[in-house]
Amino acid sequence: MIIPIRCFSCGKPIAHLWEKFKARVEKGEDPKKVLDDLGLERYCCRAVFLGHVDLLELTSKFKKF
Amino acid sequence: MAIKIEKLSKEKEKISFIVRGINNSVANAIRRSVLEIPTLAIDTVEFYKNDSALYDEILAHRLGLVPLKATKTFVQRGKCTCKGKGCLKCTATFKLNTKGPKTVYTQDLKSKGVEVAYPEMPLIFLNKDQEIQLTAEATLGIGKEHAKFTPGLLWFNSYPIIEIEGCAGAEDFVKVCPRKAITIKDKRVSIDPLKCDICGACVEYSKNKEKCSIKITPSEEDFIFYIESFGQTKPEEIFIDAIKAIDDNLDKIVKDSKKFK
Ligand SMILES: [Zn+2]
Ligand SMILES: [Zn+2]
Repeated sequence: MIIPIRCFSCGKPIAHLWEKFKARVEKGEDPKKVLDDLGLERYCCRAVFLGHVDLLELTSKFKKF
Repeated sequence: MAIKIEKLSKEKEKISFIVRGINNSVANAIRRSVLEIPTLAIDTVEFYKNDSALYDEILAHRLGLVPLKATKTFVQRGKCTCKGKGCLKCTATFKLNTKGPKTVYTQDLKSKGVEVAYPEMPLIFLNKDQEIQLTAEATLGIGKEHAKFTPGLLWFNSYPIIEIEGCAGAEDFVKVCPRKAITIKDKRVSIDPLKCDICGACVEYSKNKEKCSIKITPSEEDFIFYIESFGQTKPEEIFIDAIKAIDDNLDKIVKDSKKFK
C-alpha cells in the first residue's frame, strides 16, 4: 500500500529511504547495492523494500465509503 | 579489575565499543534498560476530516511510529506539575491540514518546538480534492509501554578469547570461517576478535589437523556493545540514558526501603 514508517521486525525507521531507493532502482541500479548504500544491513528491513509495491496512488482513486 | 571502555567505530546513527571489566548481568541490565528511557511519540490523534484511502486508525498508527526529537526539558505526563491533565511541559501538539493531489510528508506536521527526526517520510497519499485535517498529541513514554517509545537498539556479545597453538602454514583455514575473520600472516593463523562470533567452525576443523589446536572461549568480563539509534537521540546518549534509567529505578527501591527503619 504505502511504505511502512518502520521495519515490522526490528523497528528501524525506513520510510524516508523509500523514495531514494525507488528512484535509484528505476534508473537501473542493482537493488543490493542501493540497499547497502542506504545502510540497511538486516534482512528484515531489506525484505520490506524488496517486497513493497506502491498501491496507494491507485487505491485512492476509488471511493472509501 | 577496573572498568574500561574502548571505542571501535562511530557513525551518525551507529556506534560500537568494548566495555572491559563488567559481567554478563550488568551488560544485560544496561541492554534491558533501553526500554526504560523516556522517548517522545504521538499518542492521541483527533481527526476532523480524512478523505484519504486509508482508515483513520491506520493513519493514526503511522503517526505514532514517527520518531520525534524531544527537548531535554520535557517531562513525563505522570510526573508533571499538571497532574496528568496535559500542559506545555509534558505534551506536544501537532497539526496537519492539507489538500491533495500530493504525497504528505512528516515535514508537513506543524508544531511548536518539537522536530521530527526524519522530515522526508511519506505519511499518506492524497488524490485530487482529498483533504486531511487532524490534531495529534505527543507525550513521553517508555518502551515497556509501547515499542514506538524506544530510542534505538542495543545489543552486545562476549569478546572472544582466542588461543592458537601450532597451525603453521595452514592456509586452508581462511575458507573455513563464515565471518571471514581468519587471516594468515607470515604463515601463522590469526583471528580477528571483532569479526569472530564464536561459531566454532575453525575449532572443529582444527581437530582433524595435526600439530594444530584452536580454542575460542567467550570472555566473561569483556563485552562488545553495538548501539543503533532510531533518530531521536545520538547513539552514545542511549547508552548513558539507559544507565541513568537503571540508576533512577534503583533510587526508587532505596527510597521505598527506608520504610524499614
Ligand atoms: Zn528491520
Ligand atoms: Zn503537564
